[in-house]
Amino acid sequence: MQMHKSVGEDILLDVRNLETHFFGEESVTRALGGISFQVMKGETLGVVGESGCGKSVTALSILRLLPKQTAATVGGVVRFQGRDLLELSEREMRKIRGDKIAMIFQDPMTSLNPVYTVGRQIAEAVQIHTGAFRSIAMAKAEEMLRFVRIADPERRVNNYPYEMSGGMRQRVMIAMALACSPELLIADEPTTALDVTIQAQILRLIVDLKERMGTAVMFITHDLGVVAETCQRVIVMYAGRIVEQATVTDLFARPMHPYTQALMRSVPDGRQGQQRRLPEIPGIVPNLREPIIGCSFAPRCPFAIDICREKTPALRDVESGHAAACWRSDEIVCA
Amino acid sequence: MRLPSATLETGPPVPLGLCGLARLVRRRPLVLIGGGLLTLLVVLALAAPLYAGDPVNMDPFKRLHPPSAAMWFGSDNLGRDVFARTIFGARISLLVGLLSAACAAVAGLVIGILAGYSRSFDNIVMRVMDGLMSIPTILLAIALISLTGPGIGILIVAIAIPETPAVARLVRSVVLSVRERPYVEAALCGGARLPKVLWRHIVPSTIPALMVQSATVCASAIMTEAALSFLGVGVPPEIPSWGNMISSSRLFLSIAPMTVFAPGICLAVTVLAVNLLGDGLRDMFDPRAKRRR
Amino acid sequence: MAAYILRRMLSAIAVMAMVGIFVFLLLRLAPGDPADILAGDTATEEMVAGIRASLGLNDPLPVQFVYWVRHMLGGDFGISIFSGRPVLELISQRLEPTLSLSILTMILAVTVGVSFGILAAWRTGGLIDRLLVVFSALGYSVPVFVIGFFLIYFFAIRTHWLPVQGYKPFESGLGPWFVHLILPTVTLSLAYIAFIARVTRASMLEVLSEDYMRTAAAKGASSYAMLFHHALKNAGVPILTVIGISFAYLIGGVVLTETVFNIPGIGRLVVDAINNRDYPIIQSVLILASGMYVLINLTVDLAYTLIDPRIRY
Repeated sequence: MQMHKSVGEDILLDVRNLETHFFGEESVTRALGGISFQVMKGETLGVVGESGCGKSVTALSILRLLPKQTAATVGGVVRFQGRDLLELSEREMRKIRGDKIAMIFQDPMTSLNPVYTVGRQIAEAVQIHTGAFRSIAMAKAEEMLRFVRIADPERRVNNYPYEMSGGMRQRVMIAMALACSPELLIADEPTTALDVTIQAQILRLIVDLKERMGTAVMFITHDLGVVAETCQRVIVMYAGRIVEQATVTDLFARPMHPYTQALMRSVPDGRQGQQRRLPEIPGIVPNLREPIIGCSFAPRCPFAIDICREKTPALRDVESGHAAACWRSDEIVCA
Repeated sequence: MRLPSATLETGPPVPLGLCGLARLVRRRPLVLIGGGLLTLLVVLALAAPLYAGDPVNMDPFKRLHPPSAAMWFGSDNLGRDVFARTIFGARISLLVGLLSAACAAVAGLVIGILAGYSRSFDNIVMRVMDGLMSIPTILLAIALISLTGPGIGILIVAIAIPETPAVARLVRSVVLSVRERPYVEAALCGGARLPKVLWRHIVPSTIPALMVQSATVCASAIMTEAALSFLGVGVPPEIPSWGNMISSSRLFLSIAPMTVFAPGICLAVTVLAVNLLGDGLRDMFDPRAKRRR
Repeated sequence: MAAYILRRMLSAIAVMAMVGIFVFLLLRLAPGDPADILAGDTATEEMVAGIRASLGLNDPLPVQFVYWVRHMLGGDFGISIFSGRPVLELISQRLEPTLSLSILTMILAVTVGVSFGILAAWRTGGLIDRLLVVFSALGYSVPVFVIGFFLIYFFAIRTHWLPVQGYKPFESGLGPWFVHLILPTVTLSLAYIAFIARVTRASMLEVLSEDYMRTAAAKGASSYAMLFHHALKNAGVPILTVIGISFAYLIGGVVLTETVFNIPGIGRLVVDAINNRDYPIIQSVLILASGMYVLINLTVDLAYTLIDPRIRY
């Protein structure tokens, strides 16, 4: 589907061999071990995996928002609209952030500056990228609040974050991110910190606004259900690598990586009644401070054989548009 | 008024074995440097009569001499040996500083514990502490000294009193948080008497914060002593102290700068040593604070 | 809000009452008869008796206290023993040098201290940060009068760049006034720069790691906007607190600085007063200093609401 028409000009973001390290007092954590993927214009790409697998680090590496003292992207290319973001000067990068690529974060309770009104914070994004006067930017902020369906925007624009609920703050975050009509919106677990009922509203809002604005979305989540509802394509990450990449339909129909399969089994699907105990994935996530020999999932994998513990499998197309990083994908695809 | 985040939040008391202490010192060089420097100063001061010479002997023929082999720091306007006076001055500074800090720590501990435990005592005494805190240290000390005139005893009391409220407040806040802990409640429910609980459970948990605060108080006390002596209301003028020396030599700054600088530098080094020790102790008891500073 | 201000005023009055009692007792606790002390060494029997009557020293202590407070509130701070002039008049004569020194010091300490702290937090472990560690160790450890003599020796005696000491009133011209205040101001402000810079750095560091700073960066905000717009206002409450504390306690350093530089201000007045055992002056300065402290704290507490909208009393 999308993969078939993926000729050059449709690719919005092209990430190649992205490698990011964290530097501790005595150790180096290889948070991203060289990942490659594309985001197409206008599509929604899901990025799933357990916490600590490198989803957020990927997003922050693309926008170069990692703390400079402790983290560095040591290799790779992030091509966006013909330019490698990793090569840009800080000044040029600032022009991309919030204008071409915007981001919303997990916790709306702490992601807004508590001492400024939400209107000013939205207006700031407009002012930075358009140079508009404060009054014009404030009008735009009000418009954006209406756009994200906050009731009574004329009044809300002068509210401080602490005067708003979590769901409303996340709407403000979305308004701020979309204020400059970005080409790509990176949503880092935007619903995780919210109540279940609010989660659905926010998800619907993001999908809806994306359709109206034609923005591409990179949707980071640990929730496969959210992926199924919102995304066209998915990448599955484990221990700083991409282990599987497919369209949503393919992924749910024929998961090819043992990790993806295990992940799906551990999701309650409602059909099998409440009494069944969900299977968990045995073992723990590998320590990224030490070099990993072989497949990083091998110690937890029920299908692991000798080669899995010796050589790292590359991500390869098992079927057209459906790639997995597993030595035994062909055998276990229907297991 | 909210205090700045410079105030110390205490964690649980850190058990200190000898072996643990050695390891901590290795990992916390500040404690080593500060403590070592301070020990050296104390030894030098105590051994002063053995090597420093006579600090009070006047020689009218050797007035304001520059530093020489015989008199390392030169002589002052009365022909006294500045080196000897500086070394002997350390005794006064350290004595007054340490004793005042000890007085303030003990008084603050007692007041803080009682205030943390008894609400009625708290209301009255902490208001008095607020009042004392509202008068700048030096002015309060000056006022207290003006009651009797200069003297070592009143000096120690006058320096300790302005420092006490800060200690009392700190101890009180620790007590207030500790008394809510389950093991204190359990001890009380188990029939232990209040004084025993205070002594067994509450006093020990105030020790880390108290040690750090005592170092701060000690540094401040040494500075206050020197300041008061410099102003002419501290140590009686016949006793050599750093503040007195600076005060009496200030007119000769352009001719014999060492007469002012020698005691001034010693004073600064002493305070620095105590401050380093305090910072080191703070890092030791509250590693979280280290990152913040 | 009004209720808070009222409550805050009441506690300020309580503190002042404590100070009042303490200062009142000061003269009564001093060895000897207060009337003898107040009359001075050369007084006759009749003069002592006159003072005793006029101060109501024959009345019981509480009555004396009420009497004394009423005088203070009426602006009557007593008569100086040494010069025989009203204390308030002596203080107002000495006000200009002290105010000049205090205001210049606070301007210097706040601007340099806050920027120093911000820059150190901006690049932790960088040159400025390490400089701050050394600087604050010195600022906390070298007493103000020792700094003063060092500065005098190197910048006045050796180089003749600046006057050694003394004070030129404002009306004698802005130039001489300022030149005479440079060394005293620098001397007095060093410790406060260290204090303010350290607290600024610590509270900025805390704020810089907050999620909303990342949001601001994701918006494309510049380093300047991040530091001075987003971070500084959030770090403002502790910074404002230390500035308040510094200002409130400034008089202690002023006494020393004025002595070092021979500035005829309130500090000198106090020092002379101790040597003359001039109790009315000591009492008045104590009351005024603690009044300043209470007033500054009150102002700072109310100013918090301007910085942080979440603080509502």
